[in-house]
Amino acid sequence: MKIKKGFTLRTVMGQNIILAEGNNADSFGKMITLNSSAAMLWEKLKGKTFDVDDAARLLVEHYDIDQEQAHADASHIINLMMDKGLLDR
Amino acid sequence: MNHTYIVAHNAFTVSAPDDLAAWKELEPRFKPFECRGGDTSSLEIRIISAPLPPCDGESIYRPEHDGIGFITAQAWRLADGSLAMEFRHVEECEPRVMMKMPARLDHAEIVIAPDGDSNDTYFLSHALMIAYMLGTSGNGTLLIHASAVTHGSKAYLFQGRSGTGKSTHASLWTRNIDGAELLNDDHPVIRFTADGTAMAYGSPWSGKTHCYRNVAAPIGAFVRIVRGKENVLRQLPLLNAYASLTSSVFFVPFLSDKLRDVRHAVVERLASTVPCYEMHCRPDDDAAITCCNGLKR
Repeated sequence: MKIKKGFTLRTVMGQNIILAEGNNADSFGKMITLNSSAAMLWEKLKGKTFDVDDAARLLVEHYDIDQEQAHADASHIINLMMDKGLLDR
Repeated sequence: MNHTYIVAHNAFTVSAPDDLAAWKELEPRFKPFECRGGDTSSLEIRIISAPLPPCDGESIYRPEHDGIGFITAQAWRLADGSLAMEFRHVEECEPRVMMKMPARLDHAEIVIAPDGDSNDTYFLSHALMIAYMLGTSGNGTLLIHASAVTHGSKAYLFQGRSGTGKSTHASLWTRNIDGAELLNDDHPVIRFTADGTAMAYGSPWSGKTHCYRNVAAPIGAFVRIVRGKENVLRQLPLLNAYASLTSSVFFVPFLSDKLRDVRHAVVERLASTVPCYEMHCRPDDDAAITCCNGLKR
């Protein structure tokens, strides 16, 4: 899968948020706040084609967690992003 | 003829053939902003009438579907790094207006196809607005899709998607609230002063309402207009204020990363210094009164 074009991750008022930019874009009200691990994944995976294993590997590299936990967290984050329409399959 | 205009302290020069119908129609909208002094222009815009040259570069913007309003624009990055845009009517295949700006964004050439079309004025106005926006975005100038009124030395900006009633709400203010005057009805300009005050400025782009006022006022509040059954005003939390402003600031999808960063910084600063509200309202007199009272509280 891939992160869709047109979304930008920004630090706004100290929080990581994803927002579509556009002229009165449908984005209003669809602002998504990411926690630090989801934001890290976004930065590392943007522009690339990836799967849950790639995301899990990044979580293991950045945080002191085991493979099983990383895989569960990665699927959870990816499912949320998919639900919010941020990813292309 | 060469004219120099100053909009929100940004000077730009426009040259156009005297007999060009579309510019003849637009020129009075720019007149209030004309300056006769020796201000140095940081943006030169040349309008010419000629067959449109072909755009053969890398396509950087193509609308996914027709039907967003009245205008369809496409953009290309040419081999020399300059930006080219074509404007045409949604229903029509032939583009009518083409604009080219070098990567430095300090100059724009706007070509209008011969045999004038009744929509040319609209296309030219839009091309000029984009040229102004791109040419000034490096210094933090923003155009915002909003209807703006002034009242008691402050400006109040009503945002909303087309058709939600921001113009209606602005006209309810001017009719019901003593001293309220329309500043601009479509795209006022926003800029911070050196001492950190967020100001709203009139502009030559005012939509269907001919209101081209060379007037500036500190921004008292931003109000997003939402249609509702009751008239209720509520202040937005900071993050929502940021989102509300971001979605109203005039934007082209091919803006460079650097200019996006500037835009983001200005919007974040606006959200943290100017109160932003959401007003659920009916199109009635009480809406303006409730909104005004709520803002002054």
